Amino acid sequence: MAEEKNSAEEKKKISMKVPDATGTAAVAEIGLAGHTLSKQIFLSPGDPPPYPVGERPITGKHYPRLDGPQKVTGRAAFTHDVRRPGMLHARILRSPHAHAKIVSIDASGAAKIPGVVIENPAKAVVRYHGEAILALAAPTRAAAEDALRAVKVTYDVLPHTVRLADARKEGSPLVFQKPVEEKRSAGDEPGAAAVLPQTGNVRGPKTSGRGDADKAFAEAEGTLEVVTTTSVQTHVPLETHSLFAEWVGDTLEVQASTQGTFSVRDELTEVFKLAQDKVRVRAEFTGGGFGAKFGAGDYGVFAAKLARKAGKPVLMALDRREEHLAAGNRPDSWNRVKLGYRKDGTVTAADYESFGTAGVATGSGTGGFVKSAYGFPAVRVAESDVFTNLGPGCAMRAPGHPQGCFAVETALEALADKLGMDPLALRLKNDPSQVRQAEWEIGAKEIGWSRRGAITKANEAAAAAGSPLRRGLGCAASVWYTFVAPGSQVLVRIHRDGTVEVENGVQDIGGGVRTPIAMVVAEELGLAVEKIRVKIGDSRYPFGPASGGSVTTGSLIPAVRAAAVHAREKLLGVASNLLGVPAAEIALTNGVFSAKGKSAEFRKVCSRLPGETLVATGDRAKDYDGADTRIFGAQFAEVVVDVETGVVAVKKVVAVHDCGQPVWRTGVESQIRGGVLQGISYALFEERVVDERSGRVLNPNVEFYKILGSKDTPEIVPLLVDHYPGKNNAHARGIGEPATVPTAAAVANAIAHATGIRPTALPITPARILDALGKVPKREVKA
Amino acid sequence: MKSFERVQPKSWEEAAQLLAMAKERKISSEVKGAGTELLDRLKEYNLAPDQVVDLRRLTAHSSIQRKSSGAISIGALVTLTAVAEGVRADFPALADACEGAATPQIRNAATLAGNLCQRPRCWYFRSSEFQCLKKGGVECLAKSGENEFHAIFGNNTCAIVHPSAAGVALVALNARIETLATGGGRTLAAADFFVRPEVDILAENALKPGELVVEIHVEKPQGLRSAYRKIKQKQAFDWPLADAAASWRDEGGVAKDVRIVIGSAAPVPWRAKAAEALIEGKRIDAALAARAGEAALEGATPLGKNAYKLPMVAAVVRRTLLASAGLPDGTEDQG
Repeated sequence: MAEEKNSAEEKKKISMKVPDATGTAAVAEIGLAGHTLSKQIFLSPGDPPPYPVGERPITGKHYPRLDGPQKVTGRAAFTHDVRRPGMLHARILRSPHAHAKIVSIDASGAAKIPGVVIENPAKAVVRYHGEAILALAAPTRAAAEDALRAVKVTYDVLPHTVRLADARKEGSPLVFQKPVEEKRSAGDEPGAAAVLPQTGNVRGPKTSGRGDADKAFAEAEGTLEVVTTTSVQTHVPLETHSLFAEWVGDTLEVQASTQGTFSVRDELTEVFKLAQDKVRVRAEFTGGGFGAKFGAGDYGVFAAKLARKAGKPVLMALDRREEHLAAGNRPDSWNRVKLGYRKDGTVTAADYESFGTAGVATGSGTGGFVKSAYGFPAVRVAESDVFTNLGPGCAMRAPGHPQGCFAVETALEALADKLGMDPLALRLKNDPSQVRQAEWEIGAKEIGWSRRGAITKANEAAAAAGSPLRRGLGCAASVWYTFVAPGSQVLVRIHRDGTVEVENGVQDIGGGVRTPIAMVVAEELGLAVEKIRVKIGDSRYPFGPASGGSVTTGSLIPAVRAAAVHAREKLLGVASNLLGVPAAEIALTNGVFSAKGKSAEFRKVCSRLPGETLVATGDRAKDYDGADTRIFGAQFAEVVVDVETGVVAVKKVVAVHDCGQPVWRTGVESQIRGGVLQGISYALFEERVVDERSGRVLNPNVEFYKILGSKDTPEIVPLLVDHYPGKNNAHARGIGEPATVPTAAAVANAIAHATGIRPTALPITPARILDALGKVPKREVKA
Repeated sequence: MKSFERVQPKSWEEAAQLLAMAKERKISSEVKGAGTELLDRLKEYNLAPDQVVDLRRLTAHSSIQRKSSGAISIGALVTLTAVAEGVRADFPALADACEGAATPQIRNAATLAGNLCQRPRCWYFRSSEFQCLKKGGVECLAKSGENEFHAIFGNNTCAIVHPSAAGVALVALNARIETLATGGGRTLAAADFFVRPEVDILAENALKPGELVVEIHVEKPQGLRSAYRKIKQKQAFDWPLADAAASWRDEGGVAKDVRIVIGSAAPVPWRAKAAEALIEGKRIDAALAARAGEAALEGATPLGKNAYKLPMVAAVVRRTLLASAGLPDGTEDQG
């Protein structure tokens, strides 16, 4: 009911707000299918009206990935695959110490190796294990490795601090002597970097919230507090950070494994003081990024400098160890959440505090989820960064949110337990989102939530019978936001032979953006999807978004559609001349223009183009005022826990999400599966281990930095609500991040149901489960 | 990795000679089977040999021979996959130990002898940035450091766990390991092949420089029963947190010549002698297996972060014994 009222108010507001006064008025159906409301919007000039409610011939459906065959046959050329005659291989010398002054660097031994070039910025201090000191390039990778080991560095080792809890303490070794400015990247949530106090290694707190928390807690009928912790997660993209650089005349030609073709270009133009057309960046295929690959990076700048120095092309490809140590991570966290509630289960207040370490960087806050996920009336948040002598954290798939979700959803689960309520009923009571109410219902049915009571009884019977296996069901909510990267522009070029090209500089980081681009264009032009040639990953094409914040589809697809619609309009003009029928009366389907019994093949019409090609462009219009900017989701997990060994098997995850109108359903489902897998891995396995004494990371590999594998993969059921958010002409929004936010919390809550213990630390290892079950002796066992 | 010379001998005898000559020429040598584990250490610059003697193409000692008694001899170069397929009916402990190791790709290449001779996975040992006791340093860094994956038995000197699951099964099966060297070969009991850090801190087995494993012999006494079970955090490509193998002779329903060996828990495959004594001469049932699991913990000295292995070892020993007796252990998942 509240939703209805809000909608009516919103409607009034929308018709008052005119994003562009020259726009024409249109009516859009907005909301969940079956519950949509008609709203007046003012279209930006040239922007087609949003898709009407209902099925479309191509978009929204499953379709094979266009570049799938290239990828599975190894023909897709990644940056790691670049080879050129005379190309040098670059490597970086990295600090073996967590904190040290560099007394001297003697690179003469390396310089003697034939073909070696060195770029030595003469660094004075290193603050983490794996920090870059200098870079060199050599004709082979092996020669570069040998050259690295021929460089002699003398260190004056300084005290370090590597544990969150220790670094917070007074008297802990200082990571920085002076206050640190926050650096932000394209993958962060938008918002100006705050000016914050810095005491010792603690920077913050950054406070935020809404309502009167003190009053709400004073009036609450009860309070409950939990503390949770999470471990550092590294991105581990299959393709490590890499950049190939070659100077051609006065132009820097680059191929980068990146999430931002244009952000790499911009960084390199800035570093080398070049005009924007003098740096060309290509990123046709990127083997994953997860938030860690936006800029050129120190490694990329090294590559370009070495290439210039050597007068030869240079490939810099980090190895797995460097990737773990220095290429970014999801910060760890310590989170305290206190809930004020009424006895009927209504949460009236939340007090939330977080500390986290992004090593030598900032951005560890986890308070976004508690503010946005539910409708708690009063929320107070305080987030602090703690510096440690460890590699910099950076944006990682829904920054802060899996951590915050784990904290809040653990507290809600504890509250349901305390009140003797069904955990789902408690969530329904506190969830004002109509979209998520629908998602809870769909998911509960698919996972079989009604079995929960019977499962509890079966667990009791198993315990009585001496069986070690316990089953559990858990759930958790997701929230993310519709960010838009402005300025996306798409060009459609149609040739006289009927060839259709679509150009945009966007990179494919694995999500498979080519396919939805082709689907949208094919639908507007009445052609088969595989007829559309999609050209991406080149900074010489029109601007495309960096893939961070789940912005790619939502930012790009409306511009694709606008360009395709414009191309169609132009083609209809040509067809009109050919057929002698007004353009408005001509239909374009299945490659045929037809009207009043007359028809012409697509190719035929193209052969009559007035010029050699037809060029049409589309711009990303500003967002229309429409639905909630938040993206809601709900996930359910079913687990089996072996209480004798602490080993957890996740059996099934149901992931119900809102992707507006999905463009390419196959890709959306694939993103959801990936998010769920990364979430399970975060819940159960992933943990960076640091040796306290040396400050060194002990598992910068994929052997002891454990990542879920094939046999740990459960049945995953991705489901979408049919939603028309109405914020852009395609009702498009992102899915990459929302899908990974709630998985770890849902798994943790399922473990709690199965075992009766409440996991409060990620990853939930067998050791932690056995310990919580009271099965680990506290003292040594003597014979 | 540093460049090296790859030498491919035509025979095992030539391989042994190459190794002996290398010693005289004062060049460093490493022996390669499939190289799956050697490559890791080369890439980490933990090793920088002048030459690598590559045995992979030799045809001798690359198959499984079966005797009429049921005993088998497994060539050093037989892959883990081939071992698992070849011994399943008679020696399920060895088959399961080999079948569950690493990944299919690695098992298809890795050899049984290479598996037995692999170096420990201890992260202090593997990183070239640490100088631990096992690499000639002054102390075991794991004992006071990060030791969640380290030994709970026999860890007084060095806290590595021996990484070979096949070794656990072979000690339980009382296998014998035959070697070759220029000065003549020998045959060792599997239990004597593996040596504790107190015997040799720099190595995990009794092989002398230049000595090569050529055959692994396993007897099959009348009524032999065996099983191997393990507990892993991840079910794909992970080292066990605890594993165990058991073998015994079924003599009219009671267990005789019981051998219970615990893996991933000590610097060598670890005999659980108290548990063996408990089972010896008795009929295995659920209650006895559970008591044996507890008895297997005798002598454990867990470190700061690995006491969780105690309940795991108890569970895995219990489950292994039940499996060896063909009894259910309660973990049969209903879906």
